[in-house]
Formats: sequence, structure tokens, C-alpha cells
Amino acid sequence: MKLNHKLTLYFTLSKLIIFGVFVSSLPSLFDWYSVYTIDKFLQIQREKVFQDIKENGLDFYLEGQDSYGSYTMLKEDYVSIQKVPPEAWIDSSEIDDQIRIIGSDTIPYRILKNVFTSKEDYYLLEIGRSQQTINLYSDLLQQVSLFFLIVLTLITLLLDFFYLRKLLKPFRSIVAKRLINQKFPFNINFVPIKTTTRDFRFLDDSLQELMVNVNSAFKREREFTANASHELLTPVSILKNKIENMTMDDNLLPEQLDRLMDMSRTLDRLGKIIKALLFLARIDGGQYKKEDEFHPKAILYNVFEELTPMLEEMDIRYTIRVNVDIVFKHMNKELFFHMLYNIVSNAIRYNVQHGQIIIHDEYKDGYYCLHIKDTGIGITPARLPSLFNRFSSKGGTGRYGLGLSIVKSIADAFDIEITVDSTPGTGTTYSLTFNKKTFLMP
Amino acid sequence: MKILLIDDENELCDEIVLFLERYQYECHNVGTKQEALSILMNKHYDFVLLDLGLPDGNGLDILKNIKENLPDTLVVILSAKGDIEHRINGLEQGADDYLPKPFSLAELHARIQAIIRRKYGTQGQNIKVGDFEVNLQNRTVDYRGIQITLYKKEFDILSYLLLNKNRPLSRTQLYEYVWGDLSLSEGDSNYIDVHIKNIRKKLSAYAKVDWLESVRGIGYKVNVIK
Repeated sequence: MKLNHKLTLYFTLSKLIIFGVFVSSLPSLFDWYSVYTIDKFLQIQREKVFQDIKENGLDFYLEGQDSYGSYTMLKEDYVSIQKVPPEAWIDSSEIDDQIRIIGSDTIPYRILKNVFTSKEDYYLLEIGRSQQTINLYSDLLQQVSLFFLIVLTLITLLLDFFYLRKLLKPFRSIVAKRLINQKFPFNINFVPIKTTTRDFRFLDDSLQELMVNVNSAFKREREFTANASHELLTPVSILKNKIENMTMDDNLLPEQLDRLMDMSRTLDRLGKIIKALLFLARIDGGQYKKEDEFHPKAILYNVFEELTPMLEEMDIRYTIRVNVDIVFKHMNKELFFHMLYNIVSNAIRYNVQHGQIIIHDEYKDGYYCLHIKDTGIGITPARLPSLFNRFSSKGGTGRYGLGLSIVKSIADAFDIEITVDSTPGTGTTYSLTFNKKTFLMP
Repeated sequence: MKILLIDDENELCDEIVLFLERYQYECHNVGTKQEALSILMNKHYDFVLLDLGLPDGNGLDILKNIKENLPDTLVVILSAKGDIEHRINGLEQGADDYLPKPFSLAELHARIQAIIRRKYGTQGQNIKVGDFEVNLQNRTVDYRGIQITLYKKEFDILSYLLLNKNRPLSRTQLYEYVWGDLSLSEGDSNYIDVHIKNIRKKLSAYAKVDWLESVRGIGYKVNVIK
């Protein structure tokens, strides 16, 4: 899920929760507040009644009767005073809710009751206020607030969404330009992403700095390999030629010749490693042009032709089932040949007597794949992850463990994905996947 | 045959000169572009062995000069810049061959011989070896008039051994000569054994091939009675 969507979702949920809690607690809040204000009102009214009684005597209300009762017109409030027996005495006033039936109406009241004495008689004062209108308001208030909150939530969500989109736009550009559309070695585009957000500015700058550093570290490594190899080749040349001249001396004893040839072999090995490293540095350094167009099938046949004696020696049969019309473009023929040559030589070297090599192609999801399958001894799972690492092959085989590194470097240079599938004792399959840019279907 | 070696690596030059003199070439050595240009104006050389990285300039300038003024002089570029681009560039500018360093002296000899054959278009004498006759120019092997077919690489190996007759060549030397650039790859110098085996098999159907000798621990040698 994208950051923008996540944040919008979070804001939506948090707002819904907060507003939900508010709307659902609104009635009880309202009730509590209205009860509080009614109670205050009732107490003030009671004080007024007592003030009247104090000033004018109880008869001001009773007018010689035993009880007094008065309603407002709409029966919203009432006051009543009536004589009660002494047992009805209560210490202080109390307020509670009661339903009263007045005429044909059933009305819920909040009623303050207060018992007081006057001339040895006990009287109960009741002041009541109807709660009907309050309930009416409460429902209305809840509905209106619910409506407003929904509208507000929607508006703020839209605002959030669009604001976040705008806010995160630089971030999206950073991801797209610096991360997704980048390929190593990075093509450093120094136009900074436009943003006023400091964090994004920092992120963009840091990423650029990182890429520059990675690029220059890679470049330094490559240059070092190239320069060191060059420098090493000269003394190797001198030694090689010195030894060669020495071997031509007719007075040499056979054992002396043997030792000279030993030295020469060691030196050849050194020279070969250096040359292979130089070759790798050149491939990695993109020093080979990518302008050739050719039929891979033709190259495959060339590779097998080169290796015919070895195939015959081990009596290996091979089959090439590859579309003859397919054309590779933006490639380097020489490097492509090297890559296949190395893979096929491995397929022969690690094959068994009377074994097989099968090469077939496949067109899958817009990609073109070449599979080189052998019936050889296979590769143990433990060795697979380091297969393409430099100098990873086991010693004592007379090889230097650079063949598959060269394959990998060439594959990387042309954006070819290479995978190896192997079962010890059964065989190995190298699969090369070419992207759309590198081939033309007939 | 006169050869001018233009290279500033003295130790290397000494060895090359020593080797070439052994094969009866007359060989001089200069170490700078300036010296080279002046000596070329005054003396005739059949061959120039040219290093590209000279202390006072690019060897390609000398190549250009030779091609303009001395069209008969053959040029072999010797360079540590052995990659294909440099090579093509050198050959496009008129070099007759390009030998990447480090090279084997035996290979230098073989290349010089090949250029001479190409240049003078001589049918070349047949080289007699055992009961066989080998023609390097036509790339044929005959047994009393019967032509024996060898694979290209098999012939390359045989001719390389013949050019360096009576001295052992290591498998690596043979491999580098025959496979050239591919010797960088994970090819195997044991492939040479396979080829030698095939050569022996093909030839021994006609006559003995005891002149093609395995040298224990080293490689192979062709013995030709002097």
C-alpha cells in the first residue's frame, strides 16, 4: 500500500473513531447538562417560593386552602404546596424524575421536593419542570451533529488526500527518479527534486551523494584493476620472454629445461589471470560497443564448431533447438560468443562420457530465454550461490575460477538475467533471459 | 630480413632482439618516437615491431608515417592494450598484425612468418616432416600425394610446432596461439591434448608420427632432422 493511501486511511479511521465516540456520547452529555441546568433552575425557584412565603406568609399561596398548585400554560413547569403528615418529613430537598398524568397528557417531569414546617404543620413543596422539550432537542441535536460531522469528515478527508498527495509528490519523484528508474552504474542526474520539505531535500541529497560515492568507488575499483593489470603485464612479458630464450639454449640439460618450463607454466598462469581480470574490468567498464546485430543460432553453431574435438573426445551429442530467425540487437558479438563459449565449455567439461547438451529457446511474457542444459555431474547446492564469484572454483583443476565471472559480467553488461538450475548427478541448466530491448522477433 | 623494434621497455627488447637474432633476423631497437622516426628516414627495414605507448608520443603516429612514406615496410603492433577496439583501430590504420602483450616469442616468430608468406605470396617450400609434407601457405598436409584433411585448429597447432621445430612448446603456448582471445576464457589447455591425439590418429593411418613428440610435463615438440 502506498504511503499516501496509508496516511489517508489512517486519518479516515482516526476521525471516524473520534467523531463516532463524540456522536454516541452526545445524548448522555446533553442529558447530563440539561439535568444540571434544570436542577439549578429548580433550586432557584425553590428559593423564590421560600422568599415569597417568608415575606408574605404561606397564605400567599394557600389562600386559606390546604394545598396549592399552579401550572404554566403549556404545563412546562408547575409549583405545588400541600399539607403532609409528619412522617413524610425529609431532611433536605430531593430531586428526581417522575411521570405525571395531567389531563390527557403523560409528561415526564424533573421534580424538586422539599418538606417544610409552618405553624406546626408539615407541607410538601414540589417544583417540577417538563423534560419533554429537552428530549426533543436532544434527538434533534444528535441528528444535526451527526449530519455535520459526516459532511466535515468527508471534506477533511478530501483535503487530507489531496494535500498529502501534493506533500508527498517530491517523495514519489525521489523514489521514481532515484530508485526505480536507476540502473547500476547509476546515471547521475543532478537536477534536484523540487521540494520545500526539509526531510525530502535531505533524502534526495543523501541519495545522490550515495550514488555518486557508489559510482566512484566502482570506478576506482575498475581503474585499479585495469591499471594494476596493465602494470603487471609488462614484468610478466619480460620474464616470459627471458625464460623462452633460455629454453632455446642447446646446451641445456633436460632437468634444467623441465624447471624452466615449470616456471614458464606458472608465469603463463599468472599472465592468464591478469588478462582475465583486465578483460573483466573492460567489460564492467562498458568498453565494448553494443552495436552488433546477429542471429544467436549462428553464434551457437560457431561455439560448438570451436569445441568439436572436445565433444568428439567425450562423445557428447548436442541439439540446438533455437528459432533461426531471431535477431539480437544492441549487443557485442564477441562478448556474446565468449559468454556462450564459457557456458558450453563448462557443459562439456562437467559432462559425462556419452552425455548430451541440449539448447532450446523460449518466448515468455515478452522475454526471450535460452536454456543450455547438460547431462553432467551437476553442481552441489552449497556451491550454487557463489558460482559466479571471482576465484570461487576449486583449486587444483588448472583453472582460475574466472570463467563464470566473465559470463556474469557479460550478462550484466547486456542486462541478461542468468540463472542456474542444477541437480547433482543429473545435470545443470543455465538459463539466459533477454529483455525486449535486446532482441527482435521475426 | 631487417627488423626495427620500437619499444621503451629495455629488458623486454633485449629478449626480443636475442630471440630474433637466433632466427637470423637483423634486429635494432629504439625506445622513443623521435629516434624511431629519424632512424626510419635513414635506414631500410622490412619489419617494424611497434609498441603503442612510447614515452614521447603515440606509436600510431609512427604507423601513419610508415604507411605514408614507406609502404613496403611491414608493421606488427605490440601492445599491452590488447582489447578488440584497439586491435581493430591498429589494423584499420594499416598495421599488418597486432600482438597483445604478454606474447610468446614463438608466437611473434609465427606471426612474422605468416606475414612474410602473405606479403610475398610465395607458394612456400613444402616442409618435410617424417613421411609427410606440410605446406604452410596452402595449409595442406600430404602423404605421397594423398592430401590429409585436418581441422583448422589441428593445422594451426601442427604449423606452430613446425615453425618452432626442435623446441618444446607448452600447452599454454599452443593454446594461446590457437585460441587467441578465447584463451582468456575458461577454455582448457588440455584441449590441446585432444587435438594432438586427433592429429596423430589422422596421420598415423598413413605413416609413423614419432616426430610429433610429447614432452613430459611440458607439452609437445616436432623433431625435424637438421
